[in-house]
Amino acid sequence: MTEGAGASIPARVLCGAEESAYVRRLRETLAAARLGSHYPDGTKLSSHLGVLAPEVHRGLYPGLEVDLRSGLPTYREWTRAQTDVKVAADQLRQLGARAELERKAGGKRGAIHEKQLAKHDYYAAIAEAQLSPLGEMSVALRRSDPETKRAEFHVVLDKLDASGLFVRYSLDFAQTSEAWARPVVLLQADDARHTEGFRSLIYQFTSYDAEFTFLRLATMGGLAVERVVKGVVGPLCLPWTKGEAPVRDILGADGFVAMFALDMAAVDVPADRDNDPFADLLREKLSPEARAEYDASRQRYGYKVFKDRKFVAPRGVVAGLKGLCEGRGGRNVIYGV
Amino acid sequence: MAETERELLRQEAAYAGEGISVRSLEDSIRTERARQDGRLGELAGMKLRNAEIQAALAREMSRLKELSDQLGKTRAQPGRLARLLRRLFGGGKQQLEHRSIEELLRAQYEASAVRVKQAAELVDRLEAAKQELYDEVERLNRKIVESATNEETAAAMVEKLQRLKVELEARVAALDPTSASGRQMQADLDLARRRLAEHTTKLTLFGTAEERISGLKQNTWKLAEVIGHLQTDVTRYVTAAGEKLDLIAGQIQAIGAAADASLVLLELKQSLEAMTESVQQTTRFVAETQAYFRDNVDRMVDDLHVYDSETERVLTETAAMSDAWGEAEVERALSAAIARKAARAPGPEAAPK
Repeated sequence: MTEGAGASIPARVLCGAEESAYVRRLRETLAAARLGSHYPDGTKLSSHLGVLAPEVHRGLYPGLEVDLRSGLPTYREWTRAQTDVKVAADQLRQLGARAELERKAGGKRGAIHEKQLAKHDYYAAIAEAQLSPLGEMSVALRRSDPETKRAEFHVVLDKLDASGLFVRYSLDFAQTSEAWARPVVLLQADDARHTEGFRSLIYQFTSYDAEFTFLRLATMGGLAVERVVKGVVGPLCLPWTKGEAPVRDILGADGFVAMFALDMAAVDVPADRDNDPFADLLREKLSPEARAEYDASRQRYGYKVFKDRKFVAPRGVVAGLKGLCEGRGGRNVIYGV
Repeated sequence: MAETERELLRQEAAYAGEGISVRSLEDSIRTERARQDGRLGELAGMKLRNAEIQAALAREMSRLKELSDQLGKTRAQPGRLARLLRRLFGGGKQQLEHRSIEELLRAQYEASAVRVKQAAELVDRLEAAKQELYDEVERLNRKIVESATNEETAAAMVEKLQRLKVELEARVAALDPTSASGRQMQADLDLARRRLAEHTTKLTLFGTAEERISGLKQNTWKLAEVIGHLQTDVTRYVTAAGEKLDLIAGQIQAIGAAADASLVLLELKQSLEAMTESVQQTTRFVAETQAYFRDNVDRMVDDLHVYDSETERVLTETAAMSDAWGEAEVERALSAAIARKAARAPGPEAAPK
């Protein structure tokens, strides 16, 4: 394990058995977390992680760089897997038949032929791998009414956030516009450009909470926001990551705590409820004047906020974590593994 | 006739390796030539690959420059940044015109990562090709040594048989040609001539094989050198670009975390400039490589074509010689072999001190 050099974020490189154990543990944790549709797709995330496993890359990479803030692999590593899967089919074609590579590697011709054989096996193993998108938005038209010129949308943005966490933003909103006066609505070129701008806007909001995004969209002309849900995978707190201090204290030498936050601002939430003992609220960072404006907006747009967080931890850590959550007023789901 | 003389006529020279004939030499050279054609085909594929990477990098260069220019304008107009932040965080209606800097940079980073990956894979393919060529040089060297050894063996045989033939001619001249002993001596002379013709053919063939395989080996070396130069240069730019990309990957996360800080924008600008410089180097290198390939590979192909026609000419001559052996041809073959050896031997000034 070595400290990452040259990166702008704190990072650590895991190698060999440690790298292997880390990937295996994280995949097991994702499976145990039972992530629903408001979170990034757990199956794709696990498959993406699988590409990074040393058993799969066969030593072609020196190690795995982990972001010490999130406890997850760094953006560079997720991109590495994405790049390799993208080029896999083409590289397999260029490397040629495995039997020939095996013949050359077996003929004591030096390390390069063994490396080419390992590459063939690596690319063959990952060519069909499903990956978690690092920044991808889908827009679905739920309904349109030409008479009222109103269209309702469901938008999902998946992103590896700047904080190193995987985030899924799910948005439901309606727009009243001349554009929706047509009897059959198709997302055509103009709309696509509009969508691109919208995507960029949402893209920038992913580091903020659901309420902030709700408010920002609600203040835009013609948009009636119904729901903003933010599901987050991470952080994974390990003894050597920069997680919450009280969490680090309960980990012991080899424990971990994986967190999965859910943050919702919606008009159909019956009451405000905060069940997230580690929530980082933008509202709390505002000046008294700005906070008053924030509260007034909550009244004006009629939405409520619900926050929750579930956890995965080794059974030996569950009791300590439960006590920590209860001490902060939370009654949270904790899956022991 | 002395027993040693009879032994010489019966003796089969101990040539190394497989036997040689005009046909087998022709086949062997054609096989080697086909192998080299395959190598050149591989090289042409790599040349094409380079051209593809070059084109893709040129497109990315243009996009990077555009992004860099936009950031430059933002920095040059302080009020613009404030307006931009107001649009992001302020109230009221807003046009959806602002593209996320982080998003743009990520898209560019991910596209560049693919290009650098492709170039890195090319480096390993070049390394594998180079190693195979070195193996081939070793194999050709073994053949050259074998041919040279066989040529020396053939030359020794030809010299002995030549002396015997002269001796037998003198004995035949001294005997009654119609006598039994005269007939026997004539038969021995005919056998000596036959043996002489056989070994002279071999002498020429081994000499030709040695020369031709040496020519092939030189071309193989040239090919390995071309690939080696290309690999060194691609490695240099892949390393440089990889380092820049690593730097930018870390900064992208930092930029996203504080997108409203002018300092971060400045860092981003610097990253982009670093990346642009790296890609510029890459593009420049690829362009130079293209020129290098044009100048060298094409010439090499021409050389090989010349070599082919030269080989064919020699093989045709050799075939003609085997059909009509005369003493002059034997003398000429022997003289040519001796001259070749003399030419290859180091002169007094080249002798080690």
